[in-house]
This record gives sequence, structure tokens and C-alpha cells, in this order.
Amino acid sequence: MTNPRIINGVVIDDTFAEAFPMKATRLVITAHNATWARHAAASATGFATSVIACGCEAGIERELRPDETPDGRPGLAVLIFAMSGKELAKQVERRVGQCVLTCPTTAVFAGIAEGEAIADVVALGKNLRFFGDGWQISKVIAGVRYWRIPVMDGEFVAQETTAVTKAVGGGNLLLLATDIDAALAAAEAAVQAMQRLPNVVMPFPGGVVRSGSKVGSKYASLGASTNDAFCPGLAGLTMRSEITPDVHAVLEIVIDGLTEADVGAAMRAGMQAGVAIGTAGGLRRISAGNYGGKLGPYHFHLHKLLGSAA
Amino acid sequence: MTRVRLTLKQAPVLRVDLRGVTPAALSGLAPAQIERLTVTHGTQTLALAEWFAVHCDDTSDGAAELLLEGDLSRVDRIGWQLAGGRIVVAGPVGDYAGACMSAGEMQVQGRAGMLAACEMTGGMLTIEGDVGDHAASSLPGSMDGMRGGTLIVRGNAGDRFADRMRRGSLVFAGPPPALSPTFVPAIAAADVIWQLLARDLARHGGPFAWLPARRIVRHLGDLAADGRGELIVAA
Repeated sequence: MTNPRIINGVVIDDTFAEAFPMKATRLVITAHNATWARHAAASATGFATSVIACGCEAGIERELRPDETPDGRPGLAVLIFAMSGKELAKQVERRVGQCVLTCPTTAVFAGIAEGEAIADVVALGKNLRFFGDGWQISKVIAGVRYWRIPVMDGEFVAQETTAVTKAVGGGNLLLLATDIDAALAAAEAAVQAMQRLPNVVMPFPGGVVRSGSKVGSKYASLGASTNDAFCPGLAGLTMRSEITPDVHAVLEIVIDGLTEADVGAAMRAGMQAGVAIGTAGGLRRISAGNYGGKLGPYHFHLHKLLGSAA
Repeated sequence: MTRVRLTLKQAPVLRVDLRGVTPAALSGLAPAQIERLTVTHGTQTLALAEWFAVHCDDTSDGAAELLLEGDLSRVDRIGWQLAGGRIVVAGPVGDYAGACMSAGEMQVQGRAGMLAACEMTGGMLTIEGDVGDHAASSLPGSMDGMRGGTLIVRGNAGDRFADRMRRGSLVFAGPPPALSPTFVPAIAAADVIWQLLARDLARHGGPFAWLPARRIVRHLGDLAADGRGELIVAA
């Protein structure tokens, strides 16, 4: 590594995170109260940590006040990312159909308006309406069609479609710490800082992944395998170890965002939160994962993100 | 874009049919050309200039606009088959106002005669005053009436209001209607769709401004004809 910076005792590697184009949408889920909106949103964004085996990556972007939602009820915004528009459509239909439609008192609306810079639309109420078994009705209000599906607590209102936008997936930070408590503290602080920002989600559990991966494996059938360079248990065993004697735990945060700027802002906020904890808090180093820059068109250079501030 | 202003010079003796006189048809024409357009008056076909003085100015926004001024109670089919642009009538209008319109906006700052908004399929028609019989219904002999768009009536309505209505929205500021037995009470709450609807209607102001805050009573029907409509009375 050519030129590390040290801020508050934390080494910031002179490296970059490599990220990929994805397709995304935002849904607005409202309900009778915030509790039930969260039940629906948590359920709909569950099992969505990685496109490797979950079909999509998703998370709760933020809570919405009643004055921020189309129907004046409390709600949540969720973001869903997939590798293709087709897969996104399938995931949205399944998740809304199984986790939002089913949840008491909910309604679902598009969270991204159709318009310029919109790649496509995917069905929301458009396909779910058939659950109404012929008793469903719709209404076009201000040019937007909403479906009303009769259910046992009244009706489930779903906007007909939601827009799909190009997005960026795979921004990341690697936090190298003295022990697991320090690593968790740094990771939690970083995720908390990122959650305050719009247009991003951190899809792994709690926003953090402990099983960071690398491309390839000795097993022909596996496309990805453990990131041995950052496994403390393999220090002294793997030729490419990045582990120094003071590092006993490494955690990774992965960020998906609607634009390159959003992901960069989240990475910056995460680094600033880590640096605030500093080496006194057990954080030794911040790095990032990439594939040599050959696979993904988006490169987030840690030093550039921090700029001349810090 | 141009605004064409037609000011009534003299009341017609018989009824004048203004079909075809729409913002789209007039756009790009000079006042002299507009004056020479023909309309029927009883059995005669005469030039517009016979009853209207024509002026053109530029509008501030992009929409083509037609403004009609005067007591147009004997002028029929204003906005007939309107498909875009905006018509404003500063005064009462005759029969078939806005009938068969599919897009665009029309505002009548007075009362309308019979058969207003018949078989409307889109667009927005606002009538500040009363509407006569058969408003928002079917044309004589037709199976279906209004099937899209939004009609707002701030005055009272006559008989057979919204006969054979299939789709669209009818927003009425007059007294609640007597309910036919083919409408059943809606037991379930419909708070979400009501907020979406009420907020959209509230932008018309006046009696609609506080709709989102008002309680509603709903009835479903007409069960004699498919039964997927809804009658909402705001308390």
C-alpha cells in the first residue's frame, strides 16, 4: 500500500471499494401505526442480504412521518436492489405479496416517481390485484392508478406500479480492530451514521457482514469464498494476509445506494464514525474490498472520499 | 401558447351549436380565420363572427386556451369531444357542455343546461353553478354514461344525475342524494383511498378544501349494474 493516512490513530488504507451497477426501487409502506408498518417492512426486506442467494438486497431506508406519506399514516421507506430489472420485478412482487399484503392495515406506494432517468417500471398492485378474486376495484387519482383489494381488515391499497432506477451496489468498508468488542462498536457506529443518510441501505444483518468474501475458490463450484487476507485466524497461514499482530477481528459493511454519490457519502460517514472512535477505541485500520478495479465501474477511493477535511 | 377570446355580441334567436370550436382547432389560426369558422344556428350554417367578437393573446403557460364570455345559455356543445387544452366560460352555458370530452380542462363559471358531461371519458370539467337534468349521464339511446374523468358540480343537479355511470369521479357540493335500494352500506373503513382521493380533490378549494379531515359515509352499488361503484358522502 502506497500512502496510508492516519487519523486519530486509525490507518486509512490508500485503496478503493469496487462497486457494481444494479437496478433498484423504493417502496413506501404505510400502516395503522409505526409498529405495524415496521412489521411489514422488516418482513419484506428479510432474507435479502446478498444477491448471491437471496435474489435481492434490501433494507429499511428510513421511517416516514404521517405528513410524509401519500395517505397521511405512519410508514417506512424500503429500498430493494437486484442485478436485473426482471429479477427486481420478481422480488418486489413476491415480497409485497407475501409480506406487505399479508400484514394488517398496510398500504403500499411507489417510492420513486416515474419520470426522466427512470429505467423501467415494475408491477405492485398490478399483479397483486388478482388476489381480490374479481372484487378488486381501482381508481385513477391524479394520473396514478391505485388498486383496492378486499381483505379481512378492510381493503389493501396498492399503487399499480413503481419505478425502477439504475443504482450502485457493493460499496464497502473493512474495519480492522483489536478485538470483537472494538470491531462491533466501530461497525455499529458506522452503520448508525450511514442510516441517517438517504438513498442507501446496508443489507447485511445489522448492516454488518463478518464473512467477507473474495472472488473464486479452490472448489470449482464455488464462485466466492472466505476473504482469507482479512481472516485473523489465518494470519501466518495465508500468503496474502493483511492482518497485523494487533488485529484480532475484522468486520465489513456493505452499502447499496441509488447513486454513486450516495454510496460515497455513506462510506465517508462510516469512516468518520470509525475515526471518531479511533485507535483509543480499538479501531486500528480501515480498508476496502475490490477486484483489482477490473470488474466494477464504480471505484470509491477512501482517501478521496475523506478529502482534505479530517 | 395562444388564448382565443370569444365574446358574445348578441344572444342567438335559436340555439347555436359550438361543436368543433376547441382550443386545438383554433390554435395557429389568425382572428380573421377564426371569425370565418362556421357553426350551425337552427337550420342555418353561419360564421362565428355572427355572434362572437374574436381576440387573440398569449397565455403565460403552455396550454392552448379558449375563453368564452357572455350569456351562452343558448349555445350548446361547448367543449363537445374536448381532447386537450383548456376552455373557460365566463357565464352560463347551454346543453351538452363538455359532453364526450376525453382530456383537457373546462370550467363553466355559471350554470349548465341539460346533458352536461354526458359520456365523459377523461379530463376535468368544473361547473360553478347548477346543472340541468341528465348531467353526467348517457346520450339518448346509449347504454353507458360517464366513463372517466372528473366532473365537479358546485351548485345543484337536476334529475337523472350520473345515470348509467361506469367510471370516473363525480364530485358534488350540493345536498346528499336519496339512496336507491340497489346501493348497500359499506361496512369496512376505506381511510387510505379516501385520503388519496380527498387530498386530490382538496386542491380545488372552496367546499372541497377540508375534505381530507371529514368523516365519510359510503355506499356500494349500483347492484343492479355490476355494483363496483361507490357513493361517498362527506359529513
